[in-house]
Amino acid sequence: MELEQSLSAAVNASVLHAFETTLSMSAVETDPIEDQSGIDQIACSIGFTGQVEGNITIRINKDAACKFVSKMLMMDIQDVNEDVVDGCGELINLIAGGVKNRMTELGHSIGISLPTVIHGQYLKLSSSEANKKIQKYFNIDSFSMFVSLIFKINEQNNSGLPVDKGQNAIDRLNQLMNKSQ
Amino acid sequence: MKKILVVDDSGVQRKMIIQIIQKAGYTNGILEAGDGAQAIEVLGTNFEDIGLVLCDWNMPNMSGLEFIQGVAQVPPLASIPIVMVTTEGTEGKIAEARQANPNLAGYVAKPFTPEQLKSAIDPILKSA
Repeated sequence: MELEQSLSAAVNASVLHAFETTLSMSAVETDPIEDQSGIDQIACSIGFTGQVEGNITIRINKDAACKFVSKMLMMDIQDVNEDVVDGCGELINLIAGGVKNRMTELGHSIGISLPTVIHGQYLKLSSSEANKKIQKYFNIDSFSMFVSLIFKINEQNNSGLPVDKGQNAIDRLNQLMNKSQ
Repeated sequence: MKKILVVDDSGVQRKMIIQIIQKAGYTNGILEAGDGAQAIEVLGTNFEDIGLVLCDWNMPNMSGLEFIQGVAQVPPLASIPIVMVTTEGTEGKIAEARQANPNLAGYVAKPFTPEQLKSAIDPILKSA
């Protein structure tokens, strides 16, 4: 229960920090809003591994996505394009990264995957093996954002990410340096 | 004025960083790379013209950590200032990066404000 409370707090803090810092926008947690199916939406998801295994997903409508990425790039984007997809992927990356960092500081080992972005009208999130959920709604500049963390808790282990050795980088750099001399 | 190499697998993130650099008044040429492997190629062929590298950590093909480790081991390149710009913001990860490259010139945790990035690169570019 304590870990779930820490996760919930980490999600809140990461969402607020990501929007405030990157977009100078305030995110306020709100009550659940009505079903958004049928509205053009974007869902961005990142997987968690380690002590907390599952995924975190944000779901926003197309207009919110365009607005947020327009702010990132200081442009006026009206329709979902490559930049909007990339920008939304970066947004979930910031939020998931924040959750991971906060949980790591509390002594929990968690890794995250690369982001996935899905665009469509009838999006529903579910997971068959996970047995816990944290779901939140946020209001950001009159746009709504749904955040869902679906997960299970594993026993703490010490398996970390592989250590990069850097040898490939050294060899290639030396090759290029020798070519230029 | 030497060029700045921006390394991040997100095109949007690279654009945001470049906008901040240019708004800060640095009109150096900007080079880009989408992962550590591309950064190796760009740095290896343009090293005399590059005065600063801004580098993400988690990228496909080759991570930022492997990239900075490699650069630290190649003498003509080891003194090029590198600032990591990454979501890996814990003390442990910062220490890991500094161990990989003891010459690391700075570390900016995402998400960052334009002022935070500017504070990290100003001392480096103004002394160049």
